[in-house]
Amino acid sequence: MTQGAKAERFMRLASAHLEAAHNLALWLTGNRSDAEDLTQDAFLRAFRFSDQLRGESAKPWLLKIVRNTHYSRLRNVRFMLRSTTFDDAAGEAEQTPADGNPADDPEDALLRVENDELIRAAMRALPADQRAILVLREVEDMTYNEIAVALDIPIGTVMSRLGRARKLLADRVKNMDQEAAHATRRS
Amino acid sequence: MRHAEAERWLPLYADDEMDPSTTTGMEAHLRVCEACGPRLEALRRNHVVLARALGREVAPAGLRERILGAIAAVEDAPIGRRALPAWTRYAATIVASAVLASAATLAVTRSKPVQPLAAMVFNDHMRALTSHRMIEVAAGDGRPIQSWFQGRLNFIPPVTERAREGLPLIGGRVDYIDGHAVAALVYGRGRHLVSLFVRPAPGGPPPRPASAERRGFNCVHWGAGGFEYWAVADVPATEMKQISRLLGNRSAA
Repeated sequence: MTQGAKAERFMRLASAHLEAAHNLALWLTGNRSDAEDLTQDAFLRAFRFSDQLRGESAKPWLLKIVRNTHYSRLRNVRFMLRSTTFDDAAGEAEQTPADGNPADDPEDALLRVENDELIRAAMRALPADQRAILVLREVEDMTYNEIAVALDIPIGTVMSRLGRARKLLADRVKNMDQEAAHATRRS
Repeated sequence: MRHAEAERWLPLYADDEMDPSTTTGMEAHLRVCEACGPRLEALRRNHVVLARALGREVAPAGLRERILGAIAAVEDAPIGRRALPAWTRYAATIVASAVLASAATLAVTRSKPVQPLAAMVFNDHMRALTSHRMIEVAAGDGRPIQSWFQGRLNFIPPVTERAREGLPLIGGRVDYIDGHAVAALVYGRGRHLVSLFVRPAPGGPPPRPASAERRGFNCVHWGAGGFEYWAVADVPATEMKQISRLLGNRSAA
């Protein structure tokens, strides 16, 4: 394949996922200029490996490269100093027993408040891996299997991380909403 | 499908991840249940709200062109200048083979029909993973885990300790198979969690050992000492068999 044809084929398969890649980059980096750089770097890196690109699984493949590029950039000190999101020490918390409050049980982390700005602020307070999994599931509608590929984790971990991320996000939204209501009453 | 099962599996259904052999039962239940219908609506609404709130920003106008330009620049560079450092090429090989391996997994894990109880076990295990209810009692806090099941179940499950073989007991929960409460013991295997469902054998000849696979999960079913066991985890079939052997499945020896 000539280089021109290679680039053409790559962009044909990959450009459909530019929005997805950019949105993930935005949530990983936390700001627009880093997100743009990250998306561009990831696409360049993907282009170099594009011989392996399969049409049907292009999206998880590409998003995996976005995430991997992000983490290899985080290892670069200069980038780390600019980034505010190196917060993955939280990682996968070990399983803790459920709190046993049956009132919480059937709610499945539903959002009580449908305020986009509040949800986005709550999202920014989550660890990067949890932000990534919420974006892949809720925005990109990816299956658990595709998420396992994109995040390079076992599918069981996809489920436990997703469950934890959803609950944390819903809890934070609820708390922030209550704090806001409290502040309004006081002023 | 009973309400108790439908209620537990609803979030899996909302994510379109329920075992396919059980979705028809779920849909029949949803048509008649006054509680599950609205709850499904709420889960779907949640998804819509999150998709909107978290996916609102569009990529900047010039980004596509900048990427095209960058790719063209890479292409136009003379081969010598374009060459990547050796370690990058090495890393590329690793990434590429990892990607190929995962793509292969995706391709072969298309689900095929499994026996009804195994389908329930898959749903229960997956549901527990996503729900923060993987364990209701932790192992190793002094009391034997059997005593926790006392009063919650009408039987006491045998508990096997295999920490030295790399299969530590993490905890347990009460789960349900076919409408009946069963013990679910949770073991760790590297990065994976294993659910071991235990119930008294219903009488008659012991179950024929069987295994099933679904979307990256494997399940082994066997009987021993008056009990029936299902072990399920997101590990390959051979490892699942090995785990079941550690947990008392003599037919897997």
